[in-house]
Amino acid sequence: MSTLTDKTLIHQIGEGNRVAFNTLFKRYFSELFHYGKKITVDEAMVEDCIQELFLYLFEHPKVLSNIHSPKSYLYTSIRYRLLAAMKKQKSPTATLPESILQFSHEDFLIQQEQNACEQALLQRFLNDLPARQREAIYLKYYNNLSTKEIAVVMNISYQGVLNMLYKAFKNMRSNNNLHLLSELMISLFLFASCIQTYPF
Amino acid sequence: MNLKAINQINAWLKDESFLNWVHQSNTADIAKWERYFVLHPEERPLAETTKDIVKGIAFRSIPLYEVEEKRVLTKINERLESISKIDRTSQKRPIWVALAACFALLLGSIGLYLYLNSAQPIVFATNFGETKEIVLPDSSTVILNANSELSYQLKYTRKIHLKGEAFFNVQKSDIPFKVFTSDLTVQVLGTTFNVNSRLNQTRVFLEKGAVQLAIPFSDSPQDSIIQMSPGDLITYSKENQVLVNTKEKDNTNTSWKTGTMVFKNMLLPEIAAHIQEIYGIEIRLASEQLKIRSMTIALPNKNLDIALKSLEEVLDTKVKLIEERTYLISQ
Repeated sequence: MSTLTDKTLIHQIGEGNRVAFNTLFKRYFSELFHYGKKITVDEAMVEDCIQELFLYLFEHPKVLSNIHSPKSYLYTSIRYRLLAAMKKQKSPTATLPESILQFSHEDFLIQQEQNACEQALLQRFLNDLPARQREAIYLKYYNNLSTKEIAVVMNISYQGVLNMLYKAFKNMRSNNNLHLLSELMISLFLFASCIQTYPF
Repeated sequence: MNLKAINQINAWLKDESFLNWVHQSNTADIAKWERYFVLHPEERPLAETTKDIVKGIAFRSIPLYEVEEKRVLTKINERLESISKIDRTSQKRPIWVALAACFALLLGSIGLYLYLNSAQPIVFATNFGETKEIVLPDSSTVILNANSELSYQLKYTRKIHLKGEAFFNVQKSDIPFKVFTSDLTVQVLGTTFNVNSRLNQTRVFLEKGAVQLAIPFSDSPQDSIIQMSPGDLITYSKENQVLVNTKEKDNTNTSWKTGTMVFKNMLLPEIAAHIQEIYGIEIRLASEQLKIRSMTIALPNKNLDIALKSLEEVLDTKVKLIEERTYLISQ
């Protein structure tokens, strides 16, 4: 079951197959939960939103079968549901608040050669970026969404996503404190190469 | 947005030799690009930033949240069990109890969504050369073509306002689904159809099912209702009040969904007008000969370069960029 593609699982769910449903759920739960936790600290709310989303999908299997990228749909849906729930609870912010999607030092792959100071600089730099640029970086390099999928989730164009990444990295290069960053990223890349692929 | 820089980055990301230079995996390519940057040093900073984008940032892999996963999955399965139990025992209960339960469930789930911000319209828009897939709250799906806009109110999720072009796959429901364009309104109960509303006219093509058009004619106070059957292509313009119904045997009206626009026996100025709408560019025809030329051609709706190259081939002439976003075809 676990080697079946999303498309096959979705087709099976359409026929009421609970095993397929459970498999799809387990396949995406952790990454959706991790993303949700970055949007709000309220873990119970994230759990509820994921629960409601998958219940909705089981009762409306046609929704997923009409879409090209189930992954983008799931991320977009969680984002929408969480924002709606947050809005209902407290202050009316229509967009993601600037403070969300903060990186902590646990998010980074730790290397022996790496200076703790350099990593702290990188972390602080990322957290100072505008929320939208942070989100693009998070979705691309943490969740490994393709540029096209990120465009759907963030509701901007493909070029818009490239623009976000371009601005973020351009700032990184011009930031003098991070002049060692290029070497840092080369060594990090060697470890990340197993998850980083050519197709964009 | 610096479009020139973004387009360059995009081109490099699709270039295998460039990626080889980034990853230092091919000596020939490394040499090629190093030579190139010696000749064009002004492009090196952008190339370095593109390299950063490719290499990215090494994060840890996402942790497994097994406890939470188990908890949520159990809750979901419990809910699914209890829903199916209601189904199974509803035959023993009087109908009104089951209906009340369904109604309460319906209200509860709709209420959470609809009452959040019922006044503000939800808007989806596409850029030039871009298409989007949208799922509406009632599970109907829409594919929005380039340079188009779709909007609806949270309270009326089956009343859609459309500018541009979209393909609809409407969920069957007792609530009528309506698409409002500046020329007419499309009324459906559940079916698949294409609406193209650009350049002061609306074209509706019905693929499957049944659809009604409500058309305002100036000589009567009420809208006239026109029934459509599958295969009908109705064109109507409020401006000139003319309605045309042609039967389409093949499905060229909806081929844009998979990325291709098909123009059959169309005059070149009209084709140019469509390309302008999709890509946001201007096309000028240099000679009178070109203005009366008609052709049958298929062009992509997401790749301007290939679209222009195809035109060049068919017309056996060059398309020149004369100003920003303006092209000239001369013969």
